[in-house]
Formats: sequence, C-alpha cells, structure tokens
Amino acid sequence: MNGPLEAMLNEDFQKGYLKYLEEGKTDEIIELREFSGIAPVIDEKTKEAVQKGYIRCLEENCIDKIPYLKAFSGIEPVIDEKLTYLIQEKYVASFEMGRISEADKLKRFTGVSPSEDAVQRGYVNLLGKGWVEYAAALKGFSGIAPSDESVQRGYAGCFELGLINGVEAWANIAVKIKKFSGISPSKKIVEGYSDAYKKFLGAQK
Amino acid sequence: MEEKKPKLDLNELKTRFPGTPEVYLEAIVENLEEKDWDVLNGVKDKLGFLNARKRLDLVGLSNYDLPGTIVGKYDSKGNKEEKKNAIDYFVLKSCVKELIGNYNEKGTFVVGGIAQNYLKAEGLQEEQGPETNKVKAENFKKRKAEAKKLYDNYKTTIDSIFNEKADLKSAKYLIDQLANENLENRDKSAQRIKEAYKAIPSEGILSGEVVAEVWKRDPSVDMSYSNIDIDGKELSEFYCCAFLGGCNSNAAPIYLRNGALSMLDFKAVEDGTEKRFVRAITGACIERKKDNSLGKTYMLVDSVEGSDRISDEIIFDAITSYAKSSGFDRIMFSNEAGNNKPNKFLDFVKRKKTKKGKARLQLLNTEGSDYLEAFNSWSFPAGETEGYVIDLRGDKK
Repeated sequence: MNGPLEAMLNEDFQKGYLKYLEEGKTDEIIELREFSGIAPVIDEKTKEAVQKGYIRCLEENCIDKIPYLKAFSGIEPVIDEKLTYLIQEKYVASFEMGRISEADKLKRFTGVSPSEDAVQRGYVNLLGKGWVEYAAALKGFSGIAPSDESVQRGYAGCFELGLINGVEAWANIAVKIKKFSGISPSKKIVEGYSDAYKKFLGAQK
Repeated sequence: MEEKKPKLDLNELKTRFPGTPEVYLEAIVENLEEKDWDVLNGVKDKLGFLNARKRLDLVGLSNYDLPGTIVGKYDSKGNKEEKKNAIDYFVLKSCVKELIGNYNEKGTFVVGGIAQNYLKAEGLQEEQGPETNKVKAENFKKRKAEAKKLYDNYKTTIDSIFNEKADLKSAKYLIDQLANENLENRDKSAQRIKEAYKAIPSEGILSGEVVAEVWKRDPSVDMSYSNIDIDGKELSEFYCCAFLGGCNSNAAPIYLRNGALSMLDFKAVEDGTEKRFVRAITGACIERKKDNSLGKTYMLVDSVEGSDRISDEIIFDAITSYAKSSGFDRIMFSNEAGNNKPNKFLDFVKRKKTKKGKARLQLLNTEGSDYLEAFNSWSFPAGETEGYVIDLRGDKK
C-alpha cells in the first residue's frame, strides 16, 4: 500500500525490540515477533540493550528470563563490573535464604561461580539462624567450607536467639553447627554466652 | 543499588514557562523526574518532537492533531446543525421508553420495558392475546392502559424530551414521577432505571456552551492533573493515572512528544472560569493485516477520561466529527479502559448500537513504548485490539 510508510513502521518494531530487550520483557518480545512477523536486527545497539536486559533481570529477581533473552538474541552476557556485582549479590540473597536451586540456575545461566565472600555471607546468615541443613547444601553446591569467622558469627547468632527463645533448643542447634563445621565456639563466644555454652556442652554428651 | 531520583528544578520551569500558574509547575516538580524532563526537552515544536506529520500525510490524515483546532461547539439552545443540547437526551429518552413506553410512527402506543417484564414473568407474550390466559391478559391490558394514561398526563414534558428541548429540571422531575408512579415500581427494572437516571449528575450536566478542542500540545497546560494535593490545595482535572498526580505521570510528557497521539478536550465555563472537564485520549493507527500488509486507518479512542458533567452524546458526536475531519477510515473505541468514566462512556457507545469488533492495529509512530491501555499500557503500541468500531466510509470490507 505505502512503501515509505511500511519501511518506517517496520523500523518502529526494532525500537520496540530494543525497549523490551532492555527491560528483559521476554513474553512481550515473543508477542511482538508474532505480531510483526519481523525479526530483530542484531547490531551494537541490540547488544547494549540485551546487556541492560540481563542487568534488569538480576535487579528485578527474574533470573528465569535470562536464558530466554540469550536464546532470542544469541547474545551472551558480558560479565563486567556491574554484572559481577549483581550476580554476587544475587548469590548472597539466594544463599542467605537457603535457595540453592536458585543459585544453581544463576550459575548455569551466567557461567559465573559464587565468590568466597558471597558464600561466607551465606553461611553467616544460615548458621546464625540455625539452618544447618541449608548450610550443608551450600557447601555441597559451592565446594567452599565455612570459615572460622563465619562459624563463630553463626554461633553468636544462635546463642543470641537462644536468649530470646530458650537456650536449650538453640544449644542443640549449636551442636549441629559443630558437627557440620568441625569448629568449636571461640573463647569470646564462650565468655559472651556462658549459660548457653554450658547447655551446649551438656547437649554434646 | 537504588538510584536517587533527581527532581526537576522549579526555577528552571519558571523560566521556561513564564506566566504558568506556580501550582502547575509545582505539580510537575512533584510528579516528574529529570529523565521525564529530558523527554519533554525533545518537544521542539508544538507538533511534537516525534513528529508524525509525514506519516500522517502519507495515509491522508493531514488534519489529525492540529493543536488548538475547535472540533465542535455545543450549546443548550438546540441549534440542529452544529450544536447539541448539553443534556444527555439519549438517557432521558431511554428512561421514558423503559418506564412507560412511547408512541410508534403509526401512532400506536408501545408499552415500555417494565410492563414487558411483567409479561415475561407471567410467561406471556403480548401477541398471544386473551386465549392464553384471560385474567393475565386482562391485567396486561390494564397495565398498558395505565402506562398510556401516564404518558398522556406528562405528554408536554415527554414531547420536549423527545424533541430535545426539555430543560434538565423538568426532565428530572418527570423521570422521578414516572419511576415513583409506575405501577411496577417494586420491579427491579424500575430501580435500575432510577439508578441509570441518577448516574446523570442531577444538577451538574453543564447547560452552557461546551467546546471540543484539540489540545494545544503545550507542556505548560497539557500535562494536566489527575488528582493532586499541593500544600493542602486539591487539584483535579481528569482523574486519570497518566497525568500529573497519577501513578503513571511519566506518560504525560511522552504523550506530548508523540505526534501520533492527540487529546480532544471538552471545555466549559463554570463560575466564570473556563475549565477542561473531559479529555479523550486518541491515537492514529493503521491496520496491520496478518500477511503484514497495511490496511485501513483507525482513530483509536484509548479512553475518555474526566467528569460526568459533559453529556456522552456530545463527547461521542465530537469524537466522530474529529475522526471524520481528520480523514480516518474507522474509529475504534477500545474496551480496555480501566476507570469509571471511560467505562460509563463505553456503555453509552454500546447503547448507540455500535458494532463490536477486533482489529490488528499499530500506532503510526512510537519510540518503542507508550502508555495506551488498548495495547496493555506500557508497551509497544501494536497488537490485536478489541472494542466498538464505527466505519466512517461505509465500506464494510
């Protein structure tokens, strides 16, 4: 009907793709492709948009969209400083809540392993809340053992919770931490939580 | 990692828009961010930075969105050519017809919907006659006679409604009387009609001149208010989230920027001041067929926002005139709108027996994402759209 107009309107679809790629809107990308019948042009602008899309997926906790973005664009994420930071923060968030399968996805989707720091931050939270099973899963996933500092902070967290919720139960959890990590409470912890420590010793027998 | 949202500078706004009421500028500062201002700074001329003029010309829509164009003037004097009474006669006529009935062209009295409901409830049809059940048929005849009597009693006012000459006060009195005096006033239908009538603001429909005008595309007036509170002073205009104060305020500068979008404002004078009461958000679209070829042009009416104080008849008439004079093939009243006003207006469009339809539409211009409810709000403005369609060229293909 109208050659010049058709060309302009087709060009608009590329703007749409760029927006959706930047925003990591994978469902909308598919819809646009179906509606327009026009494939996205892959150029420098697209690469930039896809990279922004990866960032958005991490910022908005939509990591499941990462493989779709990759498959649709054929563009791998560039692991620059910003992306590295976001991936590690995402690891920390996953570890702290014991969501190891989520962390596993993150590793598969990005190809980036968790840093020592991210793993240790995970341990501190998991052990401090008494989630020893999750801590064991974290060790299995990362291959990194908890550091002495993480374990001590874990004990501190447990004993602190024991003061509020009942020393006995939390002493038992501390025993589990000992079994899992092979590390005993430090002198500082023993002195700081003497009652709890006594219960801990009792529970160990 | 959350970035601080930079605010706009009030003094810069004052310099850019001298003479603009400060409260408006404060609303801009309050509701928009610096990045929205970057968008606005792209509005280099009043036709929009994303000037769609060339595209509009290519499909014969050269008269669409000429800022400040007056599309129609409507007053209460009943001038038939260009002016229509501001009272919503469509609703008033429906109320009379439903409550008691009216005379048809042959001069026969046709009983109204309420009495018809009585027949249905009794399992009868008017034409079945006395053979079916003499007592019930007699009852119906009685009701019909009473409805006719009621009609004749109020004939002068009813005629003035059907001739579109009635003033609001007497029309309101009449509807109240009919609803109260009707024999079936315990019937749910009578209640429904009363409710429908109440939906017309009883004193509020503007009886003075109403002007339908294409927006100015001027940032100092056209970002408009949704409902905002500045220093305890409540300001409201269209109660629509896409304007200042709404949760999608950042749509306001984008509308201004995109020349394929156009607002049709309805203004009237109240308390000596001209105000905007209603705004129709429209877009210039083209049909994109499944084989990817381009088809007819559509004026998309995304929504009609604002107050109930302008008659829907006027709004409908002005939108249709605007679409025709712009050169569109069709109008699509999208049924995706969310607010009360647009839905009430869609009910009106439905009552006009406008056909429901679907079309694969694409907005004639975009930067990749626009706030249009027909296209799922913040999205690329294209897709299958559903709503009420008017063919302006009489071509049914």
